[in-house]
Amino acid sequence: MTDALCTSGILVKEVRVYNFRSLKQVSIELDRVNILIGENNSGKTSFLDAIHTAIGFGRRSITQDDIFLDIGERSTPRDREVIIDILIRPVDRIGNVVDVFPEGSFWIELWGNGISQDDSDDDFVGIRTRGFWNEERREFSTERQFLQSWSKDPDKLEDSRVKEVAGTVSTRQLEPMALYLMDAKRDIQDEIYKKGSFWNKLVSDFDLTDEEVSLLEEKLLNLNDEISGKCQVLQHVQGFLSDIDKTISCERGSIKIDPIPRSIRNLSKGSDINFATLGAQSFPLSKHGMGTRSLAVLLTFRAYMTWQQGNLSENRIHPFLGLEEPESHLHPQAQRALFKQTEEIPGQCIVSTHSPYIASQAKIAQFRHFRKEQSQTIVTQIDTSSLSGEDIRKIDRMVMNTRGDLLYARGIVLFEGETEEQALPEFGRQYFGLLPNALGLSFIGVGGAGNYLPFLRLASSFSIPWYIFSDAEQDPLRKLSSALNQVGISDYSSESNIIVLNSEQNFESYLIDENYDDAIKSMLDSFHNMQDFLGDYKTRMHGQRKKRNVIRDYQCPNGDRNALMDILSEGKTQYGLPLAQSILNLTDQSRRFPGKIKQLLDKIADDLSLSRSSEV
Amino acid sequence: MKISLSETQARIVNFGEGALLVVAGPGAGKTRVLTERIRRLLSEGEGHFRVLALTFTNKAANEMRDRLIEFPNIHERAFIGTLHSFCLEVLSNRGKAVGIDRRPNILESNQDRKQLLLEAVLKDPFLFDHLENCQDAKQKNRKLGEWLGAIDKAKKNLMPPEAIEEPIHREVYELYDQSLRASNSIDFDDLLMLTYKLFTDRPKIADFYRRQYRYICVDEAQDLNEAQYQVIKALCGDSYRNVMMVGDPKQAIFGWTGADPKYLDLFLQDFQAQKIELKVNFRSSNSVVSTARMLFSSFRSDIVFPVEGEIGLLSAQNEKHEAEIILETLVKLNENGHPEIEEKDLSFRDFAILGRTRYVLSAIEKELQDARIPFYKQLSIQEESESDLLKDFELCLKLLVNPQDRFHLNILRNRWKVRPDLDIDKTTYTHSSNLVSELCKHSASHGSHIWNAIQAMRWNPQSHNCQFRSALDVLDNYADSKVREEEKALIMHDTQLWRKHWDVFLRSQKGGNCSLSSFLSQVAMGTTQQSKQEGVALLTVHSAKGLEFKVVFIPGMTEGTFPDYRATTGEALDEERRNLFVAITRARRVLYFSYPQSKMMPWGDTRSQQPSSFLRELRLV
Repeated sequence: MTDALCTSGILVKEVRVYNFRSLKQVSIELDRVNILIGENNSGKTSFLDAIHTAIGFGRRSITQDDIFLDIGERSTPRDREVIIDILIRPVDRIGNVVDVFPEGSFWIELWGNGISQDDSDDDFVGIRTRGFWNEERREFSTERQFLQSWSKDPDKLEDSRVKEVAGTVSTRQLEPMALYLMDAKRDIQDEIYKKGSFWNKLVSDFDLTDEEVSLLEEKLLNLNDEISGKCQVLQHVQGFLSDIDKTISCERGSIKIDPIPRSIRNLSKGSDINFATLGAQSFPLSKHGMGTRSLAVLLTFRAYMTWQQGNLSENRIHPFLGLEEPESHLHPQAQRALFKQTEEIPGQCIVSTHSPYIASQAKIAQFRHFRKEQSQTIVTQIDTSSLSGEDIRKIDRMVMNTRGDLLYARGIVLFEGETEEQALPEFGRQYFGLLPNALGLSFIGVGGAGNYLPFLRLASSFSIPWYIFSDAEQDPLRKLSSALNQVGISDYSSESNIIVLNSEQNFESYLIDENYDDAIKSMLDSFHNMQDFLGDYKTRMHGQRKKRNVIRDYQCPNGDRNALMDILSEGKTQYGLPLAQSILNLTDQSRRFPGKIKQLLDKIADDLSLSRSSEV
Repeated sequence: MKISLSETQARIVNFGEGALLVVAGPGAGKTRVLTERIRRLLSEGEGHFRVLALTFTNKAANEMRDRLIEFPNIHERAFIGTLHSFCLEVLSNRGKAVGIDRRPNILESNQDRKQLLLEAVLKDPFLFDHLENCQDAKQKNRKLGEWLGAIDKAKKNLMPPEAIEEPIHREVYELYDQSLRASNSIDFDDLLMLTYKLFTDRPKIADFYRRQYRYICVDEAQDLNEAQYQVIKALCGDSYRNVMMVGDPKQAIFGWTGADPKYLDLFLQDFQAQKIELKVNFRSSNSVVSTARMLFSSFRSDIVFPVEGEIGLLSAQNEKHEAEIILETLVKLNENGHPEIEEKDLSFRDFAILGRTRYVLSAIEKELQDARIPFYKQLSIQEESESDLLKDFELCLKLLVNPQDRFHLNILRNRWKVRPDLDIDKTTYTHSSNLVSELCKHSASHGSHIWNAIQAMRWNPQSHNCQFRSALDVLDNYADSKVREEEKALIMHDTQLWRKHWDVFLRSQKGGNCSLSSFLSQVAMGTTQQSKQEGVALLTVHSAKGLEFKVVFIPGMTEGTFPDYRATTGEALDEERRNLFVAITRARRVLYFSYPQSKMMPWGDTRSQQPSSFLRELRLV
């Protein structure tokens, strides 16, 4: 995080939502930058809407339709209430929580008795938004109150109590930290015409002196006269409109058409942004594509916030942005740039995204992963409390920067080497009859058994089902065990999502030991377009030295096996895919999926309820 | 009307950081200086902060609020109220650390407190014996009074039960506190003691209030007692110094509550405060000022008031006669005016009759009644419902907001003769309205009507929108159905009183927060009382504090009454002198003393009376 991006002195640290749409009970801790990920319909939009309903700019009241409906329920019980609790803490300029709002702080004056102190007497502000059926008015009511206590445990809602002395939370008390929600449909075109938009907030006051205004308005008047004088159409219309005085009493000759607004204030309503790409003619932004228009909205927000902050001697505003799918209509490169721009807006943001490009720009700690279990949304984030800074950096570097897509996977298959990376997806394609990618399965070679841990941490934090297909040589097994230990698995042999080859085998030797040498030989022959590649190789290479100065011996009883192993290990990158294809082309259907591979794919199919292709 | 400030006044208004003691005599424009200073601080101070303005009475708080009403967001920028109401707010907000969960109930009436104490000690066999050994009910009552007095004294000195040496008093004190807490209640002194404990035990909480309130102003500081002074000190901690106290040692008349003007000197030392004296009187005529100076030679005004005024002495044969001549004088002045009073048209509001005790005023009250002259008594005493219906309704409201209130529950059970077999204590009620509804069902009398009224209120624990007026409408309708005119009138009178309370409460609430519990505690704190009253003021000197009138009568100026016969020590006599000083300085133009030459004793004898030694000192006899 670059420094001084929390100049407002506050952060919304936690949001708890009860009974709002699909969110039966969700508690999410927030930082300065937060990225919501998860499948479609997993509750991300509901969550953003919940905060917006509670403390958003242009928020609306809670209605019956917002109430959580459980499976099998036709209508909501009358006593079910929507509750949205927001926890605000004072922070320093780089966003670390501090004990107290400093003396003279804007927020102390704004919230006054609304500020509470927790059991360690540290300051916090809790704001509860409650939507409930109001028997008295026979309608849904929305009420906002300060909280006296903030329960440590989100399950103990009754421990978070409202404080009566502080009364209800007023608009004035919310506005300086209100959430600006930009949904996926944002468009600069609407912004310019919508009342109360950032655009209009920004440009409605040109901040000119009275003299400047009257000087400019005089020029405008002259321009109007000049245009009207030269334009016959206008005179024609004006003549007809002057007949108004025949029906309505008004002074004769008082009808006048101004082709352009006469007052500076109205001028902004006709503002437009012209934008020219390099070497092209400039034309209004409204005629550009959706990508540019949607981007322009975000940039306007940024302009608004920086203008606000720049104009006030101190911070009386906490920019709080909810941004849905910033990737819409944007080129990958632009998505990356956009995220960086969003991150640099001083203040706080919550971004929901499906874009791996954006994910790869972010830090692991910024993610909040949404998923649905039955009708309920579950949200998880990585628990960084037990991780060192190096552990976190490792995840960011090894996983996030290269495999951002992994966060969106339905399942992850991890293994060490390159042969598997090419072969396993091919087995998967035949098994499911679809590319594994299309099914949301990611096959990831971690590049050595020592590298499992960051992937495991990430997958288990976000509850993404994961599978390991591991060699059984001593060294990799030791490393695998140690990684598993750190995510709380002491004995891999009892875990059905961890497939380990037989003792001392690796992927290649496993296939040979399972008698797939025929498939390997025919693959080699067709790959090299030869009759007997193995025979040729044996004669060519026998007696020569290989790595670690070992002399090749292909004339011993195990000569064929030794030679095949050497061939495969020397040409790992090229043989993976053809090898799989060759096995999958075997005439004996029962041999097409080697046992361990079948075991893996069966398990995945069962866990994720995937249908198998007819060939299996 | 904008009168420019005098140079000294301006110095106070413009005083910046640090502690300041303002010694301001009567009529020196104290309230004005206070409000102007608050206005200046709020409009000129940099950064964001609030001001804490503590007054001695709710009336003074209302007056200050009225003067600042124009200031934008004054409700959010300043807390203006009594120290007790500030403490209530602190405890409601942060009281958890001292065992106060949510807004506590305040047991304000002494009679209720005595009853609670009685119930508490009866449960203790040892104390029960102690009380049974008393000869008669009167002695028993006196014993209870003595115990309550000991508790009050301890609390006013911030002493918890453990700090009390006398074993019986300690025991009684402990039991009393336990019963209070069992009902989620506290008494007035607890407000201070618990806040003091909170601020000392949890310095970060005091720190929060220091961060919130950059400046503190304390009015009538000569009437601070130990507990009040210590609460302010605990709030300020070691380094906070932005406290301004305004007071006048010559007007210290609340010694019997433990108040002592010595806290002004302590403040000077503890806070290293600067001292500014306001030696002017903008209120009273020359004769009133010189009369007051005869009591305190140090009292003087730097400006000479252009009106001479009048001082008079009325001597009467007995109390009845005294009342008659006061009334005669009053009516004449009211009709014809007075040459020393600028305005020709006087109204009854311009007159006050100030007694050393309430007893002095009884004959005059009767005369006023007979002559049908409008008057009012008492500004500070809680007005109570007189009809049984409203008394019971109020008890039900208390139970509604605080179902743990065993104390009022027992009173209600007793009043309604609820069958003893209805075991309410053992029944758990998830919702307090269930409890009240159950009680109403078992009431032999008007319980069902009270329950209807409560339902009309549409109350629920979270609601900030209590329909209190609807409840009163229901009660009025019920009253209408009554045959006996007297009963009807009594109920209507009570509901009107409650309507007034509710209106004042609504006006004082910001952000539409009109919850029942905060209403009831405001009523208990006395903040909903109407400050403006019509007619002649018939007040004790103590309750006339801070007020001013064009014409003041001070009757009962006999030895034994003023000074009070109980004032035997030099210290007590000093307080009597200050009492008289306060009484005199309430007068703007004209001041009459009077005394009866004889008095009828309660047992029928007539006693001849000596004019007060003060009258001699004032060279009036």
